[in-house]
Amino acid sequence: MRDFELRDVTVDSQRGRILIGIFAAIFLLLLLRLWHLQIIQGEEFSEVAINQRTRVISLFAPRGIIYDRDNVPLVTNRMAFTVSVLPDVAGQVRNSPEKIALLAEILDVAEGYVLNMLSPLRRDRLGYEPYRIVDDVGAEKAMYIYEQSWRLPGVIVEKVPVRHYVYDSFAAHVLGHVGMISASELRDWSEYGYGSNHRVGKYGIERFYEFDLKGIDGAYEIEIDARQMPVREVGRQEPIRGNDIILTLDYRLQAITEDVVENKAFEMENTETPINGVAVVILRPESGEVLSLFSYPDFNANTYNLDFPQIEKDTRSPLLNRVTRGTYPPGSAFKPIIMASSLREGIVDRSTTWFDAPYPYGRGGWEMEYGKRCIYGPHGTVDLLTGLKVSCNIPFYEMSKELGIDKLSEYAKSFGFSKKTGIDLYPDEVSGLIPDRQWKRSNYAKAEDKIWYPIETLDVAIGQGATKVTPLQMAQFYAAIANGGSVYQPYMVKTILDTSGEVVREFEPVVTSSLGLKSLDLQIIKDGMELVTKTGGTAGRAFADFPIKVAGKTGSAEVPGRESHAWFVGYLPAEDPKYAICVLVENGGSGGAMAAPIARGIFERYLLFEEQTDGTEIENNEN
Amino acid sequence: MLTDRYIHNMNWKVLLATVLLIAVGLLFVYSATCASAIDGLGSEFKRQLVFVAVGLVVLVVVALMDYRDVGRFAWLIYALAIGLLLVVSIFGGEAKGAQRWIYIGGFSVQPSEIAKLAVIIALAKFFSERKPPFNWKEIVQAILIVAIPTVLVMKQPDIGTGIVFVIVSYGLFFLAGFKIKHLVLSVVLAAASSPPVYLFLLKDYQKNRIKVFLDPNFDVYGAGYNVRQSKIAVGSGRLWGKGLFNSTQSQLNWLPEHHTDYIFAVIAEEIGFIGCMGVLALYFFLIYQGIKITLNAVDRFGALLAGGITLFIFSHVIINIGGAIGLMPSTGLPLPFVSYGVNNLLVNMVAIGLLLSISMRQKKINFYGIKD
Repeated sequence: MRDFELRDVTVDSQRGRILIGIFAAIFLLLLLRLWHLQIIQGEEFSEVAINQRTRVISLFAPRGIIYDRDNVPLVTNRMAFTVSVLPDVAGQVRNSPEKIALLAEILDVAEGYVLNMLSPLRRDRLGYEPYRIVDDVGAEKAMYIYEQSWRLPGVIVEKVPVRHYVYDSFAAHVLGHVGMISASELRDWSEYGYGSNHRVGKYGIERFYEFDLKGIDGAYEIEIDARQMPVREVGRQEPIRGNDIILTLDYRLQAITEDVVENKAFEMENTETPINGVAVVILRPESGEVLSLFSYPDFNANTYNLDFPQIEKDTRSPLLNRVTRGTYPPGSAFKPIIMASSLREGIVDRSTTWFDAPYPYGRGGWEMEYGKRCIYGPHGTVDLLTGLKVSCNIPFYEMSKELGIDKLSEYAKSFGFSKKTGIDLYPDEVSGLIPDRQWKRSNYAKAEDKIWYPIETLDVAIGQGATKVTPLQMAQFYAAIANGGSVYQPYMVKTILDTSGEVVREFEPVVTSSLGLKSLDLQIIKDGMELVTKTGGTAGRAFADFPIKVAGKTGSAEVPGRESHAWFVGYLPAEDPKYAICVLVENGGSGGAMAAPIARGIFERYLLFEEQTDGTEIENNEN
Repeated sequence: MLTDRYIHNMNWKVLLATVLLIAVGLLFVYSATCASAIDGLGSEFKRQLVFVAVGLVVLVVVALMDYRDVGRFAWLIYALAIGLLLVVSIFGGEAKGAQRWIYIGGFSVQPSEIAKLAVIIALAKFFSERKPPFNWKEIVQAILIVAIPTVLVMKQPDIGTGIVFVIVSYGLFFLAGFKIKHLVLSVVLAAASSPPVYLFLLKDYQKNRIKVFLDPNFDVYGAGYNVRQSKIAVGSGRLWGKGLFNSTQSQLNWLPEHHTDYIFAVIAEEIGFIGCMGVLALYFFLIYQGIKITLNAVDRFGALLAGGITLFIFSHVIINIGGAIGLMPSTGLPLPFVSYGVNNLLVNMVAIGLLLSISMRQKKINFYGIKD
């Protein structure tokens, strides 16, 4: 009864208990929901929380340092500042004219430029990397941007290593340059840890040894707040510098080479025949090491990207590495190849003579050509040595006639022509061409053009016609003559070292073929080439009074409608060759007058006047 | 002598639960506003600390009062509250698209908070003078008592408070002895009327909140952002939490309103499922005590007042937490004793004071030998 009274006085206790039941059920529902969110989905939400508040930003590894053969640093790194925008902010900035204006103002660039750099098209490539807007700003400007960055959260200033070419354009075609990774590179190299803001080797050693030089990137992780403002760093993995490269290049010889060539070009600048292109390569005959490799004109790798519009417009093709990718008719510089082939074949010896008669020299048919082609003739009776010395065509016509094009091209190819030398440079070298029957058949359309005419063999004999060689192939062959007959693969890199100085890779000389000449036969060629630089030889005037004995051969390869290409290829000292050199001056005229003096100028300074090892101050004693 | 007896009769369980919840509140208001600040205590935390002290005094004063005196002034209190709601709808300051505040001498007063308590007092008073079964006239009168302030707060618009009114009044109608079938019928009617309400009465932002609730992936960078970030905070707390003061969601400002509407998300992130269970247990303990006081009250007014206060706290807890964990649309109601905010804190303290007052006088019955 008391229960009833109580209910009557206050409230129904039954209903109170029902209410508690309902409350309990609802609290249970809350708990179940919490269980679902925190226990079942907890891991998932944790990841979401971490992902939205942290950003991983790459720390680019400094690239390996490139040294010359004596550890003179040629390419190093310096620290530069870059400005980037975090990916989530980029979209907001893109859609807000005020933010674009602000960013442009802070960075001191045009608004259009900012918009372009934030283009959604870059998104695919960038992934989660920040959009890099400005590269390489000065420290002062970087500080200013950093101070202003509170006005636009999500803009970050980073310190990154940037490639530094110590001597600007020095050995440009060897060292190469770096540039922003391309879409295809990013795709092809994705497994090697490249990011879309990476700079990669684009040319030369930088490119050929990209994977050695690149190093291992680090990263740091920052926590950002809801405004995308970095709050603190939460993790860091330091980058590891790439491996260092020690080149075969001789800094001083390279510097002198460039200086001599550039002086010559300067000297010829305002004449009727300015120099548009020069290739010089100097090899060590007993190994194939490249001591100097210069292609004129060149470019400054430090300012490559800025200069690119002019470089592209320059009709002299500064980007062409004339040593490995320029192909030229070798002209008379090809004669030692004919001689070596004939000696191999045993059709001539030291006592063989020919008679170079005045025009006409008739034996019917194609003999009509003989006199016309005899530039220095008539020379009367000539032997092999004199043939080289005065560059008389008759012996070589006769030899080639006897050899025939099949044998001739076969020998030339075995000496390293019409194929790549295997040098470790990018872009890849070209093969050149020794024409033969097969080539004519597959490269001409009409039936009568497909036939190999005997007259064409005579063209090859004097390095004309379709014959094309690279200066590097020429140097390689002359180096083989100098070293007693071994054709060495030219190479640029001696050693690759890791950051602690341990040797990672060491490159040994590689013999690719042999001239196959008996030493007595080889001596005939050597003797002939030594006469070339003596009084009366085609390079006699160029090497007059030069105290070191030089062996070599000139060439003045005819180019239809233009000046001949001037060649000098040789080695020195003749009795114990240490250097094999090839000089080519495009449309430079006479080899003896244009190319040989460059070779002399280089070695005069390198071996006689500048014995000191410090090559940084090369005085100009050319001219 | 008198005071001694009151202290003896003090309901320590309710007081302890309240003080613990206030302590939790201070801890997490501190975490949400100061833990990452460089220079000492933030102004919000200091303000909250001051008003906790004021609130405890208010609580004690109200507990020592006789709640029946409150009953005497029930209609005056009700009229004042309605008056304030009218004032705010005419002169009030706006916050996030809603008129909720009156500024008086540097303080902002939120009439809807006062109105909640006033409606409970008025309903308790109304039903204390009437016994079931109720006639239609009484039913309509009771509904009007709730409907007038409900319409006024909905107009502000303050949907959260409106829902509190609905829950509290349903609960009180139930306790007061309404027929079950009437209550059920009204729920059905309400459900049937919800589509036109949604279409014609709700503002766009309110519709968005409902869309966000129905579709968790709706506009997660706009209307759905808050709830999404709150769920990330809660979920990433997992079993044990990230540790006190280690809420990344709050400290890096991913979670907005982290010291007010979404303070439960900060709690969940920092002390995890285990901590959440603890906090929910405290609330349930308090609510359970509230119902016990309701059933043990010495008179019908006290019972209904205690029941109303219990329903008031319960409704705030489930609406706030339900919103933070995506169980219902987010309405921006504070979590009792825990969220930063002076108005709510003081009103809650008055409410607990009243509850204690009812509880203490219930014990008096023991002296007369009438035990339940």
